[in-house]
Amino acid sequence: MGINYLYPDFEVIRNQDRCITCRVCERQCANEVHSFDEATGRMKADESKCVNCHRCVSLCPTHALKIVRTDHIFKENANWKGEVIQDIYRQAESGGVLLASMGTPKDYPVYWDKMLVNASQVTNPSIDPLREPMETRTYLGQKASAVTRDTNGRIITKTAPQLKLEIPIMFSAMSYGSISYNAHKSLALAAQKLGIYYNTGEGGLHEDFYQYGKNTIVQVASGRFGVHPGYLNAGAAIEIKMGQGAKPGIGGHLPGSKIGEDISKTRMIPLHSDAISPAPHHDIYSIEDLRQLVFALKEATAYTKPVIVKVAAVHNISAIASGIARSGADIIAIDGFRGGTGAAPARTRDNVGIPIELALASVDERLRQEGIRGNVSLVVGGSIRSSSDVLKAVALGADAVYVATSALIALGCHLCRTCHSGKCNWGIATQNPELVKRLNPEIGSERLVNLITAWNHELKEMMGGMGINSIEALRGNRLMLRGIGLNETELQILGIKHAGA
Amino acid sequence: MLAYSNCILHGADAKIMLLTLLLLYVPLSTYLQKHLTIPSPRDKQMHFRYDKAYSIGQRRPSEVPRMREVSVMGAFFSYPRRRPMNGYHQKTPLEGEVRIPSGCAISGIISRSGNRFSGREAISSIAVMHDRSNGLGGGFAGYGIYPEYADFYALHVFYYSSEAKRSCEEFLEEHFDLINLSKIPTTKQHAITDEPLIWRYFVTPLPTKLASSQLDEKEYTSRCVIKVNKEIDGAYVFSSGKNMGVFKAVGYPEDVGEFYRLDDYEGYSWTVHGRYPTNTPGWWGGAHPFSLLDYSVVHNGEISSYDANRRFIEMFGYACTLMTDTEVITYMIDYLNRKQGLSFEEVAHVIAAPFWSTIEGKSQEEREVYTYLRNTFASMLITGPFSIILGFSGGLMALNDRLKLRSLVAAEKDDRVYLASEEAAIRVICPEPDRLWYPSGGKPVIVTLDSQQGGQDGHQLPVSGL
Ligand code: SF4
Ligand code: SF4
Repeated sequence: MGINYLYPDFEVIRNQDRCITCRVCERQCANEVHSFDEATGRMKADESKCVNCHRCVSLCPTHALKIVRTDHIFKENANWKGEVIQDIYRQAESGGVLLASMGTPKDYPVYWDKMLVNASQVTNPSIDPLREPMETRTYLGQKASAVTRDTNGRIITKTAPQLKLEIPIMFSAMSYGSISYNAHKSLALAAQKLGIYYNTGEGGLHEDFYQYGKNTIVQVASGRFGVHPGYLNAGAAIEIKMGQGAKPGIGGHLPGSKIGEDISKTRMIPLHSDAISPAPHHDIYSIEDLRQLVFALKEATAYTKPVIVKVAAVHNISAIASGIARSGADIIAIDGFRGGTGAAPARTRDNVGIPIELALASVDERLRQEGIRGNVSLVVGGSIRSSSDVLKAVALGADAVYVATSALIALGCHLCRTCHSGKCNWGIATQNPELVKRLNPEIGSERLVNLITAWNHELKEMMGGMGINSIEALRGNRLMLRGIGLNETELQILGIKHAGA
Repeated sequence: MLAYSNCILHGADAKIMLLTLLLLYVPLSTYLQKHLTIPSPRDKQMHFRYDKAYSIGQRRPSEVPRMREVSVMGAFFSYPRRRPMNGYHQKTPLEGEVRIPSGCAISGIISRSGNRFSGREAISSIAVMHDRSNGLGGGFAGYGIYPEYADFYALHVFYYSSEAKRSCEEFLEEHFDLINLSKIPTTKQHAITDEPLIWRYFVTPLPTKLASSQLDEKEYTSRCVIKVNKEIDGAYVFSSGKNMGVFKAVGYPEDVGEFYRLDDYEGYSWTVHGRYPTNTPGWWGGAHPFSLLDYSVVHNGEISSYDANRRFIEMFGYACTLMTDTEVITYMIDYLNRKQGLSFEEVAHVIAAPFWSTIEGKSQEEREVYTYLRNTFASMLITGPFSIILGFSGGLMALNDRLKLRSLVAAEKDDRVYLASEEAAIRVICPEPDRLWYPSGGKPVIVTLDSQQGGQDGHQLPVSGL
């Protein structure tokens, strides 16, 4: 065996005075960091395996543990940083593509943090959401372009199918396979309680979850896993996944090791076979093909379900979105490049795509210029971290947002970014039954409900501050935003003024 | 002649148009030079300013930065324009550059039997609310004031230069039969200064032009009005309805009434407005009522939904060049009532939509209609405080925001209905009304002429929203 050039990133610090050698950490760590040393009668740690997921830290009964970043360093070099050197060692060792998970950790600008929100003073009263109605209900779907009446002059109220959201937030696609049964169940239960939607991702819908169909968006991706008429009709809407923010332009790969009995059945593929989603849909090589799939799905569901087309935010996203808006789709979902993933090639995740804020601003503006903004609703995702991100997204022009990473964090995820290993100690991104049972769906769903409810309170509070008592009056209301520390080009793309202007 | 020949240009005749333009290459280049760097309202405003500055011997700034996308093909579609972000900075922003919130007073009077009366009552009513304005804008709209020209569009225009007048009249002659034109008679008032040239034209669309535009008469006229306002430097059409007229200026409304000699006009309904902008050098076009075709709006309040409303309505060919709430409200009403065919009551259910909790309590049929309207026209919901009085041919509608964050009073005596910001403004002209009430938030008060009952708009009650 050659030299291992990789040194542990973290140090496990154990306060031996506190440790009672209960061995909880040993049992809790799927990465097998901790072990009991018979010779010394003490616990020891193999730090090279530690991913800093905090499972042991959280469960240690005596608070004997902490994980710190190692202060071991390479010779300082602004160009050849330690992580760059390590990546080269890894690839020199493996000859493979570097895999990564969750959203990019790189220091790209987060435009949400460079926009400030308005509030009323003097000329316009703010509104107290505790005393006055404050509405966040949102309908997603095509809006009629002309009012029609029957022979008695009554308005014909039939519309294209709509998704009704009590809060303009939905859980975005995470497949059963990439996340666990209990994680899916938590999302489904929470969506039901909140009057919103969760999304099956591309892995089909487990038969246990058909009961949550009213709050489910079923996804059709390039692998078509688990897609059949029953599945399409089980949900409230159908999403065609054309791309994902974390890995635009490439497909997916769920290794055969994760395709256990349940998943093989749900995905309708043989046990332990690799589940490979092709990079493109092989029946969609252009926009007219997309139109055919949109209508094929509408036919299959008798025009009762809105069809969502999800794309990654890439350079000419506004032209792409305009094409989709004319393809018969009811909703466009755009996923920004900071969005998460269960596994993606690191170079793609860290370098391909554009930030969701800019994509949203230019798409919304483009659709308005073309006068077709009413043809579609816009849902954006890709690292929505708080209620203020939601508020700013709506003010830029989104109808609703998709959240995934935030939802997983609510379930206990510590963003250790090793989902692709399948050994998630928090029972989320794993199929190991021992690990999965660590996540209790009842508790998980309650935490999700708490999170979204809390965000909604904050959203209402800020809306009230602006003197707005209904979310539709915030949508696309860019005068409510001001940029801070942005240059002319950024301001122009975002369609906002600088603070003070 | 070529200069405006493309102003109503459609897909079908676009090719011919292009060919013509190509054949006339030399005039074309002159045309482009002259008209493709059309100043934005900001430039327009600056221009007035320069003119003034120039005349008192100051140096004229050499160049104004201009960034403006103009599409020849889409001459009528107001793609949002980029405004200059740097370069020449002005100390005080002007109307159209920034949003200027304002508090205000409004009043409206209508005779349901259609008896005509002079503008005097409106003047007396608004004068009581002097403290609600600050002298930076006042105006009136009178309906039924031009019976002898009832079939013609009455265009009231401000001109800031004789060149603007020439260009505008050239344009009008291209598109309309001019039946009558004259200066609008005024009487000098001490408090009203810097008046532009104020002209009135009674016009009707040229039949050939109208036919080739494939538009109906109203759409044709409104597009022409929007085009003049957007593109002719120093010309501003502030009234464009039939048998109605808007009279407005910078000043206190009672002075504005005297200035325009409103004693000399008789209408079956009047609305009036006194403005209290928080910050503006005052531009005549920025005063209320704001009007397009027969619709006129006087408005008190500041709407928090402004940019959501503006960005939505601009999809349909309107250009909100003044950045005032009233402008966007007027366009939304025009869109909903004229283009979508909604009744005024339905319009109210869109712009001051009931809360979802209220809708839930309605009967199944009503619930469906209310939900449909709220969902379909979600971006036309107005939030924030407002009270408006809308004037239209044959009636008035008063409407408050859903929370009633602005005062609004209504009263009735005999065939008259009175609407105002304050009760005092009604009592001064009608001391003993038969009844007086405070309409609730979001509930429209719609008053139409008795002669119009069961007419074009069968959905309306004579006085609803009690
Ligand atoms: S969990 Fe804590 S107390 Fe128990 S063995 Fe590990 S470090 Fe010691
Ligand atoms: S889901 Fe699990 S493995 Fe993935 S980042 Fe979160 S804690 Fe780590």
